[in-house]
Amino acid sequence: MAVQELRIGDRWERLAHSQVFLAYLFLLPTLVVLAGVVVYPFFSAIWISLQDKVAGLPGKWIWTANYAELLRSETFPLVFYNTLFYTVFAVLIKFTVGLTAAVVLNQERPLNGLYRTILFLPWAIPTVLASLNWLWVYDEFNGMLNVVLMRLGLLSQPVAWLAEPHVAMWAVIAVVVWNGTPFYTMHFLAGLQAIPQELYDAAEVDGASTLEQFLYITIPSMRNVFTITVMLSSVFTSTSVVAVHILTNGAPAFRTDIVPNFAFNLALVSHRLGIGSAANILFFPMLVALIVFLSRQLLRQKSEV
Amino acid sequence: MAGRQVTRRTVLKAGVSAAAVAATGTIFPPRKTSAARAQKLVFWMQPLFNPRADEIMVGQVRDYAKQAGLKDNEVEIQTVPGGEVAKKLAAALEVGAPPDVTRMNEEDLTRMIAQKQFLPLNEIVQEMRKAPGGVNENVLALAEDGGNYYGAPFGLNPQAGHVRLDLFEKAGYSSFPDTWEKFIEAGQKITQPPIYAYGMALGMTPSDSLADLLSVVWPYGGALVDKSNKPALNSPGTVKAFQLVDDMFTKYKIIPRGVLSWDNSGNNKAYQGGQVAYILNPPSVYSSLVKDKSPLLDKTGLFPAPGGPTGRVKNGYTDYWSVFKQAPSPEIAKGLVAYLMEPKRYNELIIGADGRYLPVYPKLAEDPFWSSKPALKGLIQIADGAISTYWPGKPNQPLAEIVDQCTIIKWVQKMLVDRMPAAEAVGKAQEEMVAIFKRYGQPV
Amino acid sequence: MIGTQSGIRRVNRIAGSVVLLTLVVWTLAPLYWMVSTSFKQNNEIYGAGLSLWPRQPTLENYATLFARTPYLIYFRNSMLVSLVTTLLSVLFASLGAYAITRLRFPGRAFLARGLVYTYLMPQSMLFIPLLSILIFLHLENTRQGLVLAYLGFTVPFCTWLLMGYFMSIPTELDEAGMVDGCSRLGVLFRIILPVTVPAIATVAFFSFTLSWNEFLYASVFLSSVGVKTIPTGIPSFIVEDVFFWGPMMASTFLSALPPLLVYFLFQRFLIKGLTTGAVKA
Repeated sequence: MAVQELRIGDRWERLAHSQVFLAYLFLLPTLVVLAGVVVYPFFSAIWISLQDKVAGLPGKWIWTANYAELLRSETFPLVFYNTLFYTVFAVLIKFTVGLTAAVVLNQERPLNGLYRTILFLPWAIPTVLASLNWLWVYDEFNGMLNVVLMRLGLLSQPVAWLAEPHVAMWAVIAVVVWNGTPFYTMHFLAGLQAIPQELYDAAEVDGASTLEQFLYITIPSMRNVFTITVMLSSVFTSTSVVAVHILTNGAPAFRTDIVPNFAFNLALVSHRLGIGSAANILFFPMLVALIVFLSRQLLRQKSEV
Repeated sequence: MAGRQVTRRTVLKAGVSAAAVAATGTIFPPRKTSAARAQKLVFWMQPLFNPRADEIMVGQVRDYAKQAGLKDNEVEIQTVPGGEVAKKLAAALEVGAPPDVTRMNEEDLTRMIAQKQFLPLNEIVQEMRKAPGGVNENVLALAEDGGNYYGAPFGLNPQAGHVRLDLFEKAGYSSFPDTWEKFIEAGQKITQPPIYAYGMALGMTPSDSLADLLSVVWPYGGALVDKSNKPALNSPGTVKAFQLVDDMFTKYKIIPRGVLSWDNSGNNKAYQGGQVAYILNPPSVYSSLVKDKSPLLDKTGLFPAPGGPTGRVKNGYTDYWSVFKQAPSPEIAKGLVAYLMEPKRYNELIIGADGRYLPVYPKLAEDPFWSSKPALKGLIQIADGAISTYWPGKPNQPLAEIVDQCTIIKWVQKMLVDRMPAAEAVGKAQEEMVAIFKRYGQPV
Repeated sequence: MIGTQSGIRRVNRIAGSVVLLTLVVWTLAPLYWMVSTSFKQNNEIYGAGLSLWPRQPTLENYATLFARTPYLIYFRNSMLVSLVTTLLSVLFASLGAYAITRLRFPGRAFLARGLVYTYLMPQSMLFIPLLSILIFLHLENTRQGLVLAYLGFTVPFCTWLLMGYFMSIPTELDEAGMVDGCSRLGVLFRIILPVTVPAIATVAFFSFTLSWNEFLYASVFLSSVGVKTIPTGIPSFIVEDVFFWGPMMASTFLSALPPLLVYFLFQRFLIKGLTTGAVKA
């Protein structure tokens, strides 16, 4: 009896002390989930994009015909460009406003907790509901924006914010900024609070102005946080369907259409799943380029520190 | 010794955590691998805008279920707004679990028939033909393919011009103008921002926008296709019509700027909010006015759209009942359609819908309900001789895609926004139609 | 005097307050519109009766929401899905982060890097094949399936955040624990996790909020009313082509409350959790 126990005990002991075994045991749930829900669908999307796949019917293999159709179309290049424009400006504005908010919230002030909660509010609201809300704010006849601006005498006629070609994209960006800025604010605030006060004190002793302190202490210390936040946000912003879909669905004349919405419509409204996947995949290299670029920045920052 | 104790405890702990993960799995057991679902009847209920009509319909479905001997949990009624049907069907078809019965518009019907998703409903159609006065044969033709009928016509949606008679009167017009030229004249007098004359739907959503556009194109002799169902958009009539739309929007400014991003509720909201004097829409708006007891109700008249050189054109589209072939109990599913279309029961629903749909049984148009209000009389007249979006042709897959993807409207928007000349826009629209037809292997 | 320290500080403070006020107005204005609409009657929402504040306030929109729509069902479903996703995310992420930061094994560096990349896979690209996978597992139109899909983006992010946090905890603690007879799992649960409460709180907060607000997957994978979540259930108030603004605004207001509550409660943890987590990651 004792001998058998010893043998089993040995094997278990080896395993239990084996870091490899434990590591993979601990990582098992994560790996299973990721393999099934992220990795496999990604390759599957590529597979589907090479087929003429209509919902409910088996797919027909057409190689790169979907990609050719997209690149030859008049609309897709415009949509691609829109996506870049929209992402760049949305991220830039969110960054600026978020940093400003974080700086302001970092100052000593009574009721800071309350202000932080208020500024956090927009992120607490699901984007779909925020978009519906803003649809109502932008309404040409009954919307708050027109009502207020007309009553203040700044407008003589109501403006169709979501339909005027030069304004519509900015109107959509405004909603995305409103909804997403708290993400930046939260991260930046955390980053600001991680900067040791001694650095500022030393700088003041040396006679540095507020601006100089900001430029030479704050910004460099925050580079890491900046990079990570921008990276995450760029990916989310450029791949989110909801705001555009609800506010304009691409109108007017596709001026506000972005790749994920365009692909969504192709897939779910026209039931053309193959070309929908292809549209998304055509944009994917941009994401990869961005991530690679920003990761390199991160690594460079780490090594500099 | 201590080492071995640690070992056993480690094992125990590892085992416990493994069990915990497994237990979480059992809290959510995946459904058993059975192809049969519990429900014998799945019905997608698309709301009709009028809670009373919705109640009547749900009631009728439940009555049928009871009659067919189904228990409560064997019937599933899912509420799916019309605008969501395409998206949900995409997912449902991929799953292999579409509903048994639901309402189909002309485009979805065409697409699904081409994909062979439906059961033939010939016996039901024969029954419908036996009703006194028969059934509307024109709309029946759209559901026919290869000698079989894959849809049972459910109701006609006439595109009714909802008109603010009071605003036209104030501008000096005792009745709704019968031509576009007169309408534009009247429109200029009526339009004083924030009030506009024409709430023309021009957003990238299927249905309203194309109907508005075609209501200008047809009176000038244009059409989507010709009699042999080949793309025929590019014609002098169509170009003239596009130019008129541009004039109304850009030159005379009698259309509000926001229409370019309207969805299907845009013109409803504009009319019900008192912002526009004329919209073209199925009678759902009128239905809402009745339901809300709106002050606009008495000021509203229903007319066909203005006409032009080739006359005044009335437009309507039809919705159909269809049964998906994956229905596990086809007899029960088909029985539901037959039950709902029984003339007396059907009439109950039509009247409860307050003018939302016109009956597919011509005899029912003589029901006193339709003379109870002048607006309703106007509706009946619109239905009489109404042509479909695809006149003079028939819907097919490429056309269904063209309608669903707002292909033509896209070029109207380019004309209005990018200042593309009307003739060029029409030409490009025709080119794209031809390309789509070719992709489906249809003759051009 | 303007040039003095306290003078500058005061200018800073005032400038900051002005900016803060602007931000607060910008944030709250649309919300004000939403809340006030939710208390207005229909004739004040549309047309000529339009008002900036409800002249005849009413609770009928809320009543309609509760009595005539399945809002409470949606709320319950959102709660269930978000809570379960959060729980599982925390569990999986803790185990995974511990493994990556504390254990030596082949493939460690690759996994650490790869994890972040999986997080960045766009949802808009994955939802089509993901639907097929859920079908295969018979999990379509179920909340379990949705939870599984959500774990695909919460777990990588949470793991990564916790990794950063765990790395800041000295390994001496672990070793001390193990000398005392603790197993590795015991070290995780008894020594490390209590110290990482801020990080756990942060991770839980993000998982909850991301699940609560998610729309795309929920709308594609769920079709029955019985399982729908708030973001997908509410747009179905858009009954064909007429809007239901009053009750819609009421539902938006109510739906923002849970994440707000979680944020308010976890605020102080969030700063610490994000700082060490994200900054050091």
